[in-house]
Amino acid sequence: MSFIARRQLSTLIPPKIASVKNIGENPNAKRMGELVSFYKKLPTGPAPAAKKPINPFLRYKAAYFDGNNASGKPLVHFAAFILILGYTWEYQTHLKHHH
Amino acid sequence: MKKMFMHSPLEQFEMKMLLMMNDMLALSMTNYVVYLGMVSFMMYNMMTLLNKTNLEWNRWGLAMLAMYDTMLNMVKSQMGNKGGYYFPLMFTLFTFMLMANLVSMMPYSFAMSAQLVPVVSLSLSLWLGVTMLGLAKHKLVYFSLFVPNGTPLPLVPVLVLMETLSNSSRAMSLGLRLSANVLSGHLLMLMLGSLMFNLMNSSMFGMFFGMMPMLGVVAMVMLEFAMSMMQAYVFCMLFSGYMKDSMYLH
Repeated sequence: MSFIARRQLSTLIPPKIASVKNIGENPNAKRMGELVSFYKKLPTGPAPAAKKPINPFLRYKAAYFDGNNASGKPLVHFAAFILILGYTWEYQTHLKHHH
Repeated sequence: MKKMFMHSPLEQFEMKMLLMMNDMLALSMTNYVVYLGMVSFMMYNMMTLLNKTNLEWNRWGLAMLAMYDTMLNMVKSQMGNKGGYYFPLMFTLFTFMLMANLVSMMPYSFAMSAQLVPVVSLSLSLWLGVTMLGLAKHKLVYFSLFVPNGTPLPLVPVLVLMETLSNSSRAMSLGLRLSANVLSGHLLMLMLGSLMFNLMNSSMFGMFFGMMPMLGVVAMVMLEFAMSMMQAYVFCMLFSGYMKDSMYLH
């Protein structure tokens, strides 16, 4: 197998970080040391909460559209908005002139 | 109580001014323009609902995908794989009609699709576009669309006349169908609602008797919700059919 072919193959095969054989190895072995230091560097504990956006539109989106927060509530909000807008408009232009 | 209700069923379709320009309705800011802006804003922001925040689609994303898939299936079944070129147009038309129709179902809102002038203008320009597409694609052969296959020669002049009439009437009928359906639905809902209110307001007996039209109103509202979705679909389905005629002739 030529060098180039091996290079191409190595992009397909994931790097060997740990294997069953390695786990049984001497804990002081170089490969195991690298493995432990790699995992030690990773952040621990629960994931930090995502920053709340300042933009009111993005905040609304985060609260009612994103991920598991997705719900039909925006439709209710929209209906209420239309109701208030429509009635105000109708009242000002029309209904208040009826006696 | 008098100030809560409209006094004529046709009042709901009136254009109301916000800003008047040169004493003309054409360039003024009316409730039609406001609702048009609202629907356009929602359509523009719809794409943000399709972002994947988790590994799977959320409920909004799935709703959008369902709409997308419905339209894609319809376009492919009508126009085949080549119809994909026109899918963005169809999807935009469908979402616009659907949102405009559904927004008009909210109380005190404005029925954009019931306005004959803009809807028929839209259908007219769509028909014109489809005709131009056919002429650009097939040149003079496009006119073979007006002669059905296997017509005996003596019948050709009559059939050409009839086919030309039927083809050009599509420009009107497409918009008229949507507009008339929405208009009649809204009128009926309001008239039934007023009947129910007047009956229940009249006496104790009328209060109980008014329950019957109330069931009718509920049924009508449900029917109108279904109708507003169906009409958007039917508009796009018929338009794809017309487009198919222009693309493949027979």
